[in-house]
Amino acid sequence: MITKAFRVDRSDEAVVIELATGVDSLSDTAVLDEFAEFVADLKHSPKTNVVFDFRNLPYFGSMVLETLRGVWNEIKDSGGKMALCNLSDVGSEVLQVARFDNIWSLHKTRDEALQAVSGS
Amino acid sequence: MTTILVVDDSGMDRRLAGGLLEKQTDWTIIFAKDGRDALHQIELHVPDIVITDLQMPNLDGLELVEAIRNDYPLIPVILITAKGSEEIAVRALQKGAASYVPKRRMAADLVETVKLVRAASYENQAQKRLMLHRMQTTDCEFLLENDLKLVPSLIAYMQELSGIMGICNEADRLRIGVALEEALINAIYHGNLELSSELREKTARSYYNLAKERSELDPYKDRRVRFVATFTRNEAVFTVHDEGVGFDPGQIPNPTDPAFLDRPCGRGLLLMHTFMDEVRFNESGNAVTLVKRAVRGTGSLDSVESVES
Repeated sequence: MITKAFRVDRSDEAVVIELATGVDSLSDTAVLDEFAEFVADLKHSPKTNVVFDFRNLPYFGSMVLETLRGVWNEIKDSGGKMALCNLSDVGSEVLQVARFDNIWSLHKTRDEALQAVSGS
Repeated sequence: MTTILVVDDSGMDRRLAGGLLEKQTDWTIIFAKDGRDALHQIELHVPDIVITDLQMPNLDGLELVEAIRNDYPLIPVILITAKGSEEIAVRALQKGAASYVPKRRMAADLVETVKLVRAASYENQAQKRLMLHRMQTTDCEFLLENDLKLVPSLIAYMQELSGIMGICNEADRLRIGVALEEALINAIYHGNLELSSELREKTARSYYNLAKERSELDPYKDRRVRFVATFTRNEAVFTVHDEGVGFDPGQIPNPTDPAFLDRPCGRGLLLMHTFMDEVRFNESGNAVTLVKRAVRGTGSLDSVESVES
């Protein structure tokens, strides 16, 4: 699945979501539809781990944090884990300021994040 | 005389690039064996152009582009790309690299690419030199519809002006982006369209649907966001004024309180306060002023001066 705003790759360990652009796309009807469909899939999956890859998003604010929180709410009850990777220093700061680094682990690379959620 | 720094961990590739470039009699070629060595060479003698391989030990080509963009923004960087390095090359171009030459096309294209980049950067540098040190103050004002699509372009322009006026380094440029994004989203959604965070708590879809609906209804549709920016060499002052009913910032709960961690309220305000030096609201709560003061000695300004000297 590929849209302007995000790209999803599935592996054995986790679903990897690569955010491609900033807030302007997150309010697009088409993107919201696609994201809602993706989140609905998560809701009906037994246990899904999710990795958010920020390699294309050097900074972001509360709208993106809300998107992360929305996904987290769908996977946490079934025991899914969530990790974030490829954050800029400022991206990490945003998560620390909002205290979300206490909930999700932050990693330098996608491989490290995948390892973290798969528990190896 | 044009000085070109060639950066490659392969001695053979350095010799190949050097041999092609040295045929131009008014070009001086210097070499570095990786990104870290390149930064050392730049400190010793600031080149006019950097040509770099992407995959190198110590500091790779992408990291080198970032470092040059941050510390020596007037030096254009040309990438030498090999099969398999396309993805990293795209990222380097996004980070500000000026052009690229595929390794297999070096003999045919390298000299011509350097000439083109040199010609383009000459005018660009002349204009930047004028603005970077001689412009003392600049003001601008925008009147925006309630359209989120305008926000990234406005922020990018403000980040560029902040850099030109020597207000910030790369990290602060991003911090300004975060704070302005929050202020503008607040003004559009909470101010002009009077949407509550509680609605977003339920579903993002209903929140954005209502935003769309209201942006075509009275009284919301005619409301505008007035954005005013004033830059001096010492600070940038941004004011974001919406035409909504305002709010009392004191009533927003602390979003880092564990009890509120799961709610969307107040996070934007917290980020504004964290990333700007000063944040103040007017009495009615429908205008916010954000101030970012210049950071001296850590950003691009000092390095740019060294390029000029």
